[in-house]
Amino acid sequence: MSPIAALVLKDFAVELRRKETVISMIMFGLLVMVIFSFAFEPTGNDQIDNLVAPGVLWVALTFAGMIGLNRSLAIDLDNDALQGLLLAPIDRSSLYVGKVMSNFLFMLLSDVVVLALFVIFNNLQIDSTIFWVALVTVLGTFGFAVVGTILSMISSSTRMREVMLPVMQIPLTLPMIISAVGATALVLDGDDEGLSLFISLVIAFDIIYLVISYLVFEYVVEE
Amino acid sequence: MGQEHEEHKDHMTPVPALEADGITKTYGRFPALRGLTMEVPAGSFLTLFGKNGAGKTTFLKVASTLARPTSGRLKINGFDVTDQPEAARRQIGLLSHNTYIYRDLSALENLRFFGRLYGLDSRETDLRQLLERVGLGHRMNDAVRTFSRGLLQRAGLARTMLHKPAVLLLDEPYTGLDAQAVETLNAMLDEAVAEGRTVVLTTHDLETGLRAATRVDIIDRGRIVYSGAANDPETRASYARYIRQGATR
Repeated sequence: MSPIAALVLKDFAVELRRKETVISMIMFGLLVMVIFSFAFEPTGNDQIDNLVAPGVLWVALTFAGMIGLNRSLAIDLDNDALQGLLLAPIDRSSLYVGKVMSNFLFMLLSDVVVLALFVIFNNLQIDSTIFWVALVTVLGTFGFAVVGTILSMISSSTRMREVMLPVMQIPLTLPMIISAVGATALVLDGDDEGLSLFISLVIAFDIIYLVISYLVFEYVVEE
Repeated sequence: MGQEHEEHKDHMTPVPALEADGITKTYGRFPALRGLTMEVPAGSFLTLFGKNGAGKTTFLKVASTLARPTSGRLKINGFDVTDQPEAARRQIGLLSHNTYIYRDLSALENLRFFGRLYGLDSRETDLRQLLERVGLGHRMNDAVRTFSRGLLQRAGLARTMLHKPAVLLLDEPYTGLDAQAVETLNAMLDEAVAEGRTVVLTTHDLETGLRAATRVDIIDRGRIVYSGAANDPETRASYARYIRQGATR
């Protein structure tokens, strides 16, 4: 078994015991969706509703993801277990990849619930719209996990790490979030023009940050 | 086998288990290690004495690749910790008062996980035997979260010994152990030395440190200030002077 697979399995085994990360994310995402659905009641005008809905979805995904990243990091900081990982005779970048995969999969579980609510609250038809919204969500979530994993490691050595993570993460992921919101809005409007550009921007963001984070991870975790 | 190993082999010179040459480590403007130089022959038992903040833990962190030296070279069994960190990590087992294991997993699950991470093909029976040896046979399936301090340290010891490291780095490993756990740890250390492994132990406690040591170094403000044989009466006297007066002479 590869170290990456071992790490992902370990994180899922721990999560099955703690039941903290995914449940916290789902509860938070659910609350955000419900609150926004009351705050911005559908007007019946698709143009206006489609303007608000993508923002609501990405606020829920972003903040739920942030909670997940903090909880996920706590697994490795408990009893300094992270140091145990760093002592393993493997390329430390594979630790990063393993952690990204865990965070990404945890976030996807929460995304499924948030997306289901999004479909219900916005009366979306079960057609290709959902597929495209799901695709944008998966790509955006991956980018969020890529950046969040490295930033959570950086913030782990700070005193106010739960505050520091969003302070660093939101500005860095803003280009990706704006692109994802733009892509979601186009999908809801049924407007294909420009969609590929927004999706390409999200993919480019994912790749650039994955490569940079992969290369610098060793220096981030070493004293 | 690394290039360094081959070079040593060619000249038939035994490779030191640990070789530090002018190691410095600064945190901001604070120098934790200041040109520390030492050589630990393979199969020996070195005890590092020193007060709090003397640099013992920082040295072990550098030796175990958890911290990067600011300058200087350090080799573990011929593998440079900066240039060949993965090969160096395969040689070492680090145990400190923090056990570096997952408290939500059982002791057995922890060993399975770390075994996979180390690329070991340990059979289930080997893992169980190891846990039996450290006295965790009856609790191996319980979540580590439910363990007392002593049991936690035993689980940490099992993690440290899992890949049969050639060099054991032990940072205050006796902290919080009960008498039985101390005996178990001592027995395992004696066994490790008998098998030809090298032990580097840091401690404040003179008797604990001298029990099995072959050599003693005293570290103060990031430098070795005394080095002598463990059975040399001068070693005991130097440590006493160091504790009372802050100097070994």
